[in-house]
Amino acid sequence: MIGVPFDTGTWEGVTEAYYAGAGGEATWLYISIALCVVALIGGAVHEGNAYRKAEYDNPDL
Amino acid sequence: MEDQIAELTAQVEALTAANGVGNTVAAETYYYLTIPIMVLIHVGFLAYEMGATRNKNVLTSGVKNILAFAFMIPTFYYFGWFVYWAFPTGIDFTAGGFGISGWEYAVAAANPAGAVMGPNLADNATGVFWGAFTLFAATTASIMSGAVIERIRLFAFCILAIVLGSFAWVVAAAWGWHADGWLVTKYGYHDFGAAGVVHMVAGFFALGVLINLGPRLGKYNSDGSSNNLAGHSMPMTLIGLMTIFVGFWGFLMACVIYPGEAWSWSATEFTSIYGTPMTLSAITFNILMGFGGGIIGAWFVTRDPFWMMSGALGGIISCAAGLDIYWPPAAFTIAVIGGCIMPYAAKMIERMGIDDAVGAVTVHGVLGAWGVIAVGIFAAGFPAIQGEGVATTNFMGQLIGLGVMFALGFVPGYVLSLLLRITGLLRVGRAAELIGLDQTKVPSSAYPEGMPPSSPYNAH
Repeated sequence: MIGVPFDTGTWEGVTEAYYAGAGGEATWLYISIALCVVALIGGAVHEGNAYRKAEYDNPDL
Repeated sequence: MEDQIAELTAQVEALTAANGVGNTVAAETYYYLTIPIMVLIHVGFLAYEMGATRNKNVLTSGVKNILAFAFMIPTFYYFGWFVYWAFPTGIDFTAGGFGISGWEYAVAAANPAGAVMGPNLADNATGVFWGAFTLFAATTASIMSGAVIERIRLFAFCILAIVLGSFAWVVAAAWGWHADGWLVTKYGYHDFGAAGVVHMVAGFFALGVLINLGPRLGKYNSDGSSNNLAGHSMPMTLIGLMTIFVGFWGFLMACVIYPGEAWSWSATEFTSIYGTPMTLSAITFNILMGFGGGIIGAWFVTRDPFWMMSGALGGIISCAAGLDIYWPPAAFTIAVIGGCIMPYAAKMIERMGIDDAVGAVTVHGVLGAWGVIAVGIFAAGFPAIQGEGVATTNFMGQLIGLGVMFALGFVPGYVLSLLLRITGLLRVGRAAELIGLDQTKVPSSAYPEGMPPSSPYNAH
């Protein structure tokens, strides 16, 4: 009972997996992994820029 | 007469079915409730770590702690849970004697792209077990988090946290905290409350990172003497430590296997994760005795509230491996010894030039090691797992386990942080560290309407 639309029209007889996610499990798995990687890279770029700016603005430190 | 027997039989069947449903619901709820209780560990670590941070870095420490928890959840879903079931017999991924390990079992029980890892009316256990283990994983990352405050890059910390929380400690758990684990089946290793598999691994992982990360600017003087870089709020730190203690109850509750389910070790009684019989009452005696003993031990030697509250955790960690089997006064004594060791171990580490800002290496690494070895000294001779003719707990088994736990923590922590240091990704810039990380990158202030600023100092 995977995916949408939920095509049986009733919960009767649903006894096992029933989760939603158009496109299949692996697709969502890869999308969510990619989001984590993008977040990490974005965070690294942000803090790298912040440290460089601190060095540039405070050359005496 | 036959009608009455048939009616009674039907009633017995109905009652049996209802009891089974009730047991399943109770078991699922039991593990579900361990999770919010364990979240209190992270509430505690958040307060503890922010309190131990100077005013200029408070929010950055908070961000780091929150992100450790956040990244642990998806990564433990992707591979951490799989590793736990795949690795117990070693790196050949074969099935163990109980048939609950190995590559094929892991594919069936923990495939992140499979039906078992999602809403499933036929499975009341996987989600709550995975959740509890995810919180164990997040605890390892939080242990490391406090040690490295005020100078580690957030990106580097997240990578290190993911490797520690979703791989390194999980391998340790598979080997020493699983009934098919080779340390358990071959050497009788016993570690009920994870003194080795969680605390030691996380504490010595942190040590490996600290060696490459280096001390905070201003921590050491040119003559090698050290300065106390006091955190901005000791009360916040103390409340955090006490909150971690509250969360420990959930942690230790989740180390127990509920009876009466298809996956249970017993139909009638709680067991340890190794299938050995125990009760919640048993660990209640020893958790509280460990708590009290650790505080009193630290009070003996320091009179310092920070070490007293750290001693509370250290006391429990000292007797964690044998919480299910110790006689309570023995647990108390083991905890007192742990509480006494702790401040001296911290001083020794500081003298080695290692700036562990919150004593994580000491409390979790050193006392975790003491906890592992204490079982070999004071609790040898117990069958390590369920069944006849199995390995028994013994000193050499605990010693071997201690070596393995040290290596599983220290080696990946050291090697990975060395790579991050070589690539320039490990430590923040000097200017950012001096100005303060909150102003540099958050950018905000923890107390915009007033708190004394951090004491100025001259970096050497």
